[in-house]
Amino acid sequence: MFPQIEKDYIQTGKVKYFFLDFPLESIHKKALKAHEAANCAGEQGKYWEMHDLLLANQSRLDLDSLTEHAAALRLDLTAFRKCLDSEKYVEEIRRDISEGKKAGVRVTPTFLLGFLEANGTKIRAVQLKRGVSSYSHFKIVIERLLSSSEAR
Amino acid sequence: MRQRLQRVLLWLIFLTLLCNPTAVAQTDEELLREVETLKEGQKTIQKELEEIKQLLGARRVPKEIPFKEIVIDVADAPFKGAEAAKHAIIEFSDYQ
Repeated sequence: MFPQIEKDYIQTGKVKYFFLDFPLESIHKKALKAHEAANCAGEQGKYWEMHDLLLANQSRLDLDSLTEHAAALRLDLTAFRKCLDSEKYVEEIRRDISEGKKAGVRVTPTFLLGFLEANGTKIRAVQLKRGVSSYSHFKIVIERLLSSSEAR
Repeated sequence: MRQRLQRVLLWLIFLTLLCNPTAVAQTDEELLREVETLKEGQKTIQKELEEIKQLLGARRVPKEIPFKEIVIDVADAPFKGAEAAKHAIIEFSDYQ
């Protein structure tokens, strides 16, 4: 997510931002493990920190690198490795993938924009945006969402 | 002496005036042609500018991908931002 979008819309409370895992397993075999690593770091309260590290080091997704990231974040490495080995988050990641596929996600990143429902546990998505674009472009898409009526 | 000088000057002025109209006429014709050419050029540039503007305009407003509303479960998903926000962005991405 663009830092500017985060500053203008997420930090200001206008928009809530969710990250759903969509590893393209067939192309990036290590990707799934990286998504597990983020969730395992989340158990120790460092989800976004790991997320940012993974995004900044996309060529380093092997097990050793993941452990290095965990060490850099001062995680409990034993717990982290145990979490990774357990594959406990694989099912959740696959659920994210199937939610994405249901919505027509084919490439990464893909953004869905919509309204929060059911106490924030669900999002009624009304717009889809594929790929990376300029800030100004994204801003228009967000503004369109904010100005659209919530009523059906 | 002074009278002579005056007469010479007058002649000179007369001659200049006499010569100039023809010179001006020639230049005018050339100028007119030049103006016409410039006008043509300007028209082409304006047309091209219009086309560029249209292209940029089309780019400025992002096309909305036809999309059928769908409800996505985000109960377990990590998020940023205010709990109470009404609008949401979901990013589907990987760490490729």
